[in-house]
Amino acid sequence: MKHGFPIASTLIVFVAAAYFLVPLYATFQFSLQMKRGELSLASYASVLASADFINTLSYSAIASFAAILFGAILVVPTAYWVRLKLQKLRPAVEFLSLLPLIIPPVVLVFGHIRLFGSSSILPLTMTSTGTDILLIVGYVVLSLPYMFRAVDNGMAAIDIATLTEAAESLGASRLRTIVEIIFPNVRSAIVAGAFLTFSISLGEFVLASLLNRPAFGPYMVQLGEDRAYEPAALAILSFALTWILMLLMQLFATRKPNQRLLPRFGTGQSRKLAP
Amino acid sequence: MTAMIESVANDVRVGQPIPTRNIAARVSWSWLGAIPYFAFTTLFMLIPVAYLFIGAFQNQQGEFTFANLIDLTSPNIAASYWLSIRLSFASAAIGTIAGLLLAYAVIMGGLPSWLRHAFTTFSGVASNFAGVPLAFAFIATLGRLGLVTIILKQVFGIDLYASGFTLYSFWGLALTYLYFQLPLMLLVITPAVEGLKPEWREAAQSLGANRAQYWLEVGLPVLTPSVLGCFLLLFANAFGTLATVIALTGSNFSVVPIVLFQQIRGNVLYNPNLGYAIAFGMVVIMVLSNTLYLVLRARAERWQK
Amino acid sequence: MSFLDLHAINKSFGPNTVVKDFNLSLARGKFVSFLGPSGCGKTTVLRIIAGFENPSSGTIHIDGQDVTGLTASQRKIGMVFQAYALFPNMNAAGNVGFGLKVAGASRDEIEARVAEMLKLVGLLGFEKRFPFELSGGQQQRVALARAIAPRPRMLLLDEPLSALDAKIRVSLRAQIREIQRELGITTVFVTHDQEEALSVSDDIVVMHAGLIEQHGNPFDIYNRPATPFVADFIGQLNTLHAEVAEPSRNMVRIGAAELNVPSLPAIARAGDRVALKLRPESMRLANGHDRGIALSGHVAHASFLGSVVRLGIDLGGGDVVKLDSFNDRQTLPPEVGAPLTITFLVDDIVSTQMANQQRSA
Repeated sequence: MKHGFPIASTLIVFVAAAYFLVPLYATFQFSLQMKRGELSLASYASVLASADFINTLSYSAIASFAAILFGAILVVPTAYWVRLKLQKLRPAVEFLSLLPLIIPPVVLVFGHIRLFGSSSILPLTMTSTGTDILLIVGYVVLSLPYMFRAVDNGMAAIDIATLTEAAESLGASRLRTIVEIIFPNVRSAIVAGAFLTFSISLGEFVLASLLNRPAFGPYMVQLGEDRAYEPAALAILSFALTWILMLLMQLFATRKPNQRLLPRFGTGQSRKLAP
Repeated sequence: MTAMIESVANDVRVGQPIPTRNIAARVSWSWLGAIPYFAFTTLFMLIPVAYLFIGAFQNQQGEFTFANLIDLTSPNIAASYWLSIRLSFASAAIGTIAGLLLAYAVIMGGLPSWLRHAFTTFSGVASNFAGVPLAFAFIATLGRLGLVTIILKQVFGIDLYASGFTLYSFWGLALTYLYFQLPLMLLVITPAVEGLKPEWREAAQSLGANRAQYWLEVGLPVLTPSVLGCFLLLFANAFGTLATVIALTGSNFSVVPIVLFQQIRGNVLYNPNLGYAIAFGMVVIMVLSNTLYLVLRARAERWQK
Repeated sequence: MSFLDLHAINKSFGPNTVVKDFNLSLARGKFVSFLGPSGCGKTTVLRIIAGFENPSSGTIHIDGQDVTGLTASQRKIGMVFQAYALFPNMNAAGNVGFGLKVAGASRDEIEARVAEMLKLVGLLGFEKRFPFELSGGQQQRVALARAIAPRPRMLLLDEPLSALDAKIRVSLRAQIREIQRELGITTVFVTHDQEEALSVSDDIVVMHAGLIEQHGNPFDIYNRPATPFVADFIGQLNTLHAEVAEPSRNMVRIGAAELNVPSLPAIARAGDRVALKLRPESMRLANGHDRGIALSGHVAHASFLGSVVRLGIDLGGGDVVKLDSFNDRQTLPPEVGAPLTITFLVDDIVSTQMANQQRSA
């Protein structure tokens, strides 16, 4: 089958590229038209100068960071422990990590509101702090599949069990093993999972709205109802942010443990493992 | 290398037995290590969902009943399920076919490889670009005052909205969903398309098959389980979508997640247990499509070896 | 009139020329092997015959027809691949019947031919099995049945045995040869395994760096290698160093012994050191009534390999030669250091090279 110029493929790629790029271009163009008769960045200025924008964005950023921290503290030791000592529990742990993919966020938050509502033994929704915690918990659950997979893949790539045995057989303590061998090796996997968590929770709407939190997602929806040009500016900013987060995520997810940024590990390991 | 480290580790351990006290300490630690994870997932995932499921089978007095599930078939609720299913089906079907064509074009279409790299990278971003900002982008593009709407009207004389199209409709939503469905399809179907071995095509050729015969008899049948599996993944992906719908249509477009959202906000059904039943129904549909996805993926992997 | 004719084939991938001026004529019904190290161009020539690659220049004739411009699907050539390449969505019967199906044969015809082919490869009763339910050897036999089911003019085998276990490899190669004889189908077999090529072929084409080094029957290839590369690539060689005594009469000297060798390099002068190359099996342990040249030395190492005892014999001057003798239940293998005498005939010398030359130059 010798073919000349790939007409069909070219056509498909052209249509797909148009579908992907036209909305981006249109949104950008639209966002510049706030001032009648001229192209300006007025909509961006309007968005960035708004106190609500700053407040809700920082609220969501803090909630996202908290979710990343909490998620990492929950997932990293568990993934390590399961690989090292609890292989039998692996199917159960993996299954639980995938469950959030089949529980729609709206169902999850419904359950939370009912279970942790006013009449429950753990009435989290009664206080503002409690509701904040519930939101963070929700984000940890939503990002669990991605966080667990990223960290677990990172550990699979370096055969954590053998490394631990090797380090211990050479006399390193468990703590020293974790700090000097395991953590540097999975650091980039954790960071990759963190970027995914961040991109999921920063603009999240359903949980934040139903828990009545002053978060970025509900703010955006409100802005969409009130204004015409600012939402377009927000969409462009948000797309740019997603782009940056995903590029960083891919950068970390595909990086090998001893590649760049971690120059100390390579020498540390060879020193440790050389008899 | 690994084997070497392992044998070194074993050798050392054989020569240097671990004290019994140490072993005892490790056993108890092992179990402690798993407790936080199981406690967290149980408390914040299993129990809340179980709470809803149990409530779905109870009346407001707490007695067992099927009435809530039967009420799911009442005209309003059945209509919203039917709308959700049709919308998810349409957006998943379009996404599947378009994504498959795109995967074929960039992987084996004879185009320069930087194009494939560009589409893959873009898809990694676009499949995560959902929710509210996506709705804004499409409003700016195809809304009543959207740029494309205006250009079509002024330059080509095509008045989209006069011809019955509106972004805030079934097909408008389907077209918007496609923006994350198509990239997702490209990403998940790529391994399967790459798994089509060149030898299969060559074997078919040497047996006298032309291009169409190869695709009909070998290429497409081999891809079918993967394609169906990816379709189900896209279906589930669309079924749970809520933020995009709200940002596009307010709460007027009553797909199931919107109905449930409204119910949580203000008990619009006047029966909390009916809300539980709606949640139960959503999870059942998600479980079905994801289970079927896993089954089909296992079948595809068996073929791919 | 030859059946397959390759005329002046050249093939380049970018700046790399992988096949250079390749000319080959094969008679109908022959089983010929392309043998050479990886990267020598043998698979490329096979793929050019199959129609998967276009030659940069040259022509291909099959049975008098110029097929150079035809696509693979028009050439009517059966092909068996290294990695089996069975269609995973079809069972064995579907795979074997594929060629007939796309040619539009009737269902009865296909069914009869499939049964016939599966019987031929010894897999009758496996019709309903899918590839993932078959072992590697079974898959490759289905692939063979699939390739010959549409009655192709030729059969091409691209390293069909190299993915299989050693035992299956030996039995399947015999089976392939048997089927080829029975059908009388002209076959090209690509391999890097010299034992495989020697054991099944009518003809062997030894290739190196895109060129044909030698084309001949297995006996000639082994016993009369045309080039130093062939001599080195096929089988094993012992090296004996000697000093040229009289170049004009091909006389050389090893220690006190004078030998009249079959040939000497043209540039050899009296006093030059030369290397005589001999097969291990041309050397024997002296038993008191031998002909030919006798050299004495001692055992440097001895390994017992079951049916054979392989000795390394140090003849002094840096020459350690290998020598195989059959196992004998009554005699223990000689011990390391034991003195021995070996004998050989000068006619068995495969080649004579200048001593300081590279071995495979």
